[in-house]
Amino acid sequence: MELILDTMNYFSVLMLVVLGLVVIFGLMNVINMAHGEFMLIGAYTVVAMTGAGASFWLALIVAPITAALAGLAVEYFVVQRIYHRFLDTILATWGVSLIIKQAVILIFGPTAQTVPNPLSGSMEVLGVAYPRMRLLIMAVSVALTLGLYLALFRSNIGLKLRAVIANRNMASALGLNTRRMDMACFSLGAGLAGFAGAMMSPVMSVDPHMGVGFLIPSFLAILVGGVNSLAGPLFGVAAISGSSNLIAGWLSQADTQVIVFVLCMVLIRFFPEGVLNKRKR
Amino acid sequence: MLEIRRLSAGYPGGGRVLHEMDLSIGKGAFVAVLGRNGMGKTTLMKAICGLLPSETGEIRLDGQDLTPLRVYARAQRGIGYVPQGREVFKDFTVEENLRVGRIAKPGLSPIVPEALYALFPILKERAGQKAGSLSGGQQQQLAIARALAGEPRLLLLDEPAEGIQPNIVQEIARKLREIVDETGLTVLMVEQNLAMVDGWADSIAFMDHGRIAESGVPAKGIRADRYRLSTYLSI
Repeated sequence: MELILDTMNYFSVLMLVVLGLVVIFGLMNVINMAHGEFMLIGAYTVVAMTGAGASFWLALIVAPITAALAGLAVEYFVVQRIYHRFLDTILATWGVSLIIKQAVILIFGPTAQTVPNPLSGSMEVLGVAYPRMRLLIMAVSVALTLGLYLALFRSNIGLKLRAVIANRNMASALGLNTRRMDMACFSLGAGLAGFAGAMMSPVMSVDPHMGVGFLIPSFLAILVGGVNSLAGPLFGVAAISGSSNLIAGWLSQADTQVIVFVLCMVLIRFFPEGVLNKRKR
Repeated sequence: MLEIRRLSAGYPGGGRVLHEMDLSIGKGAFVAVLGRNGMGKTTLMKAICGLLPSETGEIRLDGQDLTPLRVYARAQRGIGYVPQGREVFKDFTVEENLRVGRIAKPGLSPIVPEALYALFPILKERAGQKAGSLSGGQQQQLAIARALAGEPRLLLLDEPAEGIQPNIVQEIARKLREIVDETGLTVLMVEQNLAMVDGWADSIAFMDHGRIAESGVPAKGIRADRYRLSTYLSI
């Protein structure tokens, strides 16, 4: 039972990170190498605010806003000029990630920081005592996934966004301000990453490299599942979190990562557009 | 209504296609632009709606200069565009396609008006169906309805008869005529299919090498005008 809960926990954490990527990579086709650093901005916002005496819950609201504003700045000053230059986007956002990481090191230092757990203690779930904060992360992850689904596929703003992504010129000729949609979309993705970082800050050590460990599994989850709907990333996250936790019961963490990545590569080889969906370029 | 003066436009790296062309269309008119391939008809459509920047000249809609405006701003000022090849959102349902046409314009309700479905009843029947699964003729009706959903003042149509069965071409032409007569909408249509023009449009402007060679030619009976068909369409 604990294995199931641990798997669900990893699934939830990964899903929180993937949601931002669904928007920026899945919908906008931008390989944002700074995604992990937007997470970092969220986590360090919590570190700074709780360190100054503010409540974690207030910091949880401010963190995604800070990350979204940082995302807006990155989109405006860097990404908007290179949307259609695939390789340049990777290099530029990688540069942005280095800048953010070094800025964090300059301000907070290279050592890991801790955030006091606002929901300490455990709660019994199906006969197992499980940390309350981790249960909250699971609940928030489910709620946010559902919220993003409703926003993208059941609202007018989501319809506008999908129209811009489907056919930029046509959407513009119908009257949609595509630049404004780009900015909104990119900052939404960054804000979601920031929220993920903030949400996870009490349950993991906050250090300048915390985003890296999530970046590769998150991209793989989207590539494995596909992106036409949220079902693809959900499948990808379930596949990666499930296989990781199952294999980790038998092998070391390094071996587990190698096997999971190889499995992902095999899936991508046979389903290049994603197991569940067709990937659009 | 639409005044185009000394308009020049072309494609980056591809040279100039429109050469200081002039065109004037009155409110409520249904004007067809005819010409051979490569004479600049599609370029004209794209330049009016802003998808191609103009190099010189100006485009005025009801007196307002559209030239400095971006594509979306021109659409919001009242230009509806039906591109060549239709370009419906194939992964969206019919209803979603129409709703995009509504919500793209500030101030319009997202609800698709029943009057629009009354004009194109097949779209009502297929409202929940993916646009990509419709036939070519149905997709063309959807593209026109999507442009109309935004309640434009000027409708631009780029070869709406292309790849459509002859009976559907007649149906689409009749619908357009009805819309012009009932709503006073101004229509500028680029076309090569004379069945879409003869008896349906009010007048024809012939395009030759990036300029309007002749305009104000009555559309009715154009199929019998051997001189113009030979001169401008090589028929």
